[in-house]
Amino acid sequence: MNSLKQLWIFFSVSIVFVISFVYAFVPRVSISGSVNVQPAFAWDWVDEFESMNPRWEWDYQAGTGYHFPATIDGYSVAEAGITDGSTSLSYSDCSLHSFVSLSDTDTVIAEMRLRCTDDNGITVPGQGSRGWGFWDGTEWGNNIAWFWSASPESDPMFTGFLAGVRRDGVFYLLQQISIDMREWHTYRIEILSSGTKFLVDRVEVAFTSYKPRNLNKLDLWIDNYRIYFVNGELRKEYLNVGQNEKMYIDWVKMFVQ
Amino acid sequence: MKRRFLIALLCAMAIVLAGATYAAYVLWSGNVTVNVTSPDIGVYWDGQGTQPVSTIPFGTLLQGDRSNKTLYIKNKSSTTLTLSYTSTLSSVSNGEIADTWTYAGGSVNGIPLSPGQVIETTYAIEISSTCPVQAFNWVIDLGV
Repeated sequence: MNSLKQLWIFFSVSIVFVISFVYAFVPRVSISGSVNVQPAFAWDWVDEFESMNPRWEWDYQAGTGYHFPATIDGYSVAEAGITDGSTSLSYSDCSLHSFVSLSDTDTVIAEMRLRCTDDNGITVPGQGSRGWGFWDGTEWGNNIAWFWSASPESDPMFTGFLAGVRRDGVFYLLQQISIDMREWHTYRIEILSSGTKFLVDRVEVAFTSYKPRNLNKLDLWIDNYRIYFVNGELRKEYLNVGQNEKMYIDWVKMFVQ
Repeated sequence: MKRRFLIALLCAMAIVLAGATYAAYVLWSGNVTVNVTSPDIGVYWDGQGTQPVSTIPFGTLLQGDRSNKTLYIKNKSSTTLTLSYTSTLSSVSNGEIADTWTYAGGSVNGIPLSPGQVIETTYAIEISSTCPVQAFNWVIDLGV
């Protein structure tokens, strides 16, 4: 009886040994993940682009620009882009506009998650300008608070990827941000009583104590503009775009108080 | 008596071997978590395989948020491997955070990888709106 018991123990331990041995030598990689979860924000509205919400100007179109709801990477998104048919002869723009009614004393927070298919000439071909944020709807964007990118054909002051704030025609912030816009990122703009703050993936990347005024549009766009100076005056012209340039907008959230 | 002694000795040897194997595994996987990858399979931040992934920091996310990272998986062996992964995220978060690891729109599980092949994959997490406010750490095992 004792022998049987001992044999049973031996058998059990051997099984554990064999399983451990096999498990230990199966090829694999162990990776650790981490996330810090914070309470949800009480947004005034959230658009996940599961349909054509009328808060956006879906019928706007310029040149080869287009936008429509789509599914990318498993997410409902707004796909917006301009095509390789965009030329220097005419304006092409895929702007997704939302008209917003803001007072200059409002606290305004907008957050958007998106990615682009190219990085607008930073490391891969791309021509034109693009951005996401607020402006006053004037031709030259005299008041802006937006994430902004201009391709190398524009003035070096505007090329790369920037956080920009302009008030009454004066730039108070043009800060380079080192991110790859081809990856999914969460971009956030906070217009506060103390100034304007920019965050990427919830990390503050730029701040100025200035803030724009008369804001009335939330805009996410790609166009074929080249922006430059002549005698200190801003000028723009259209570029030939050699490839399709797209952005996928997963969601936009907005808070005003 | 002699037979009993032999069985006891075999049991002791098995226990020692099992313990040593387990300890070796724990130490080995600990190293992998920090900076070492399996000799057969690699996970990288870049398609060239120069930046191995040891941790995936998602930073701060809000309840209801989702986030993803692009990861490149390389078969470093000389034979075709079939991928398979497990994650402790659902269990450590009581199902409040879901994760997926996808390639070409489907799970990486079951994807065959030929020798030297590199694929671009997406590892994504989605946090429920009722998820407790706290920090979470978890382990993802990619095997074959």
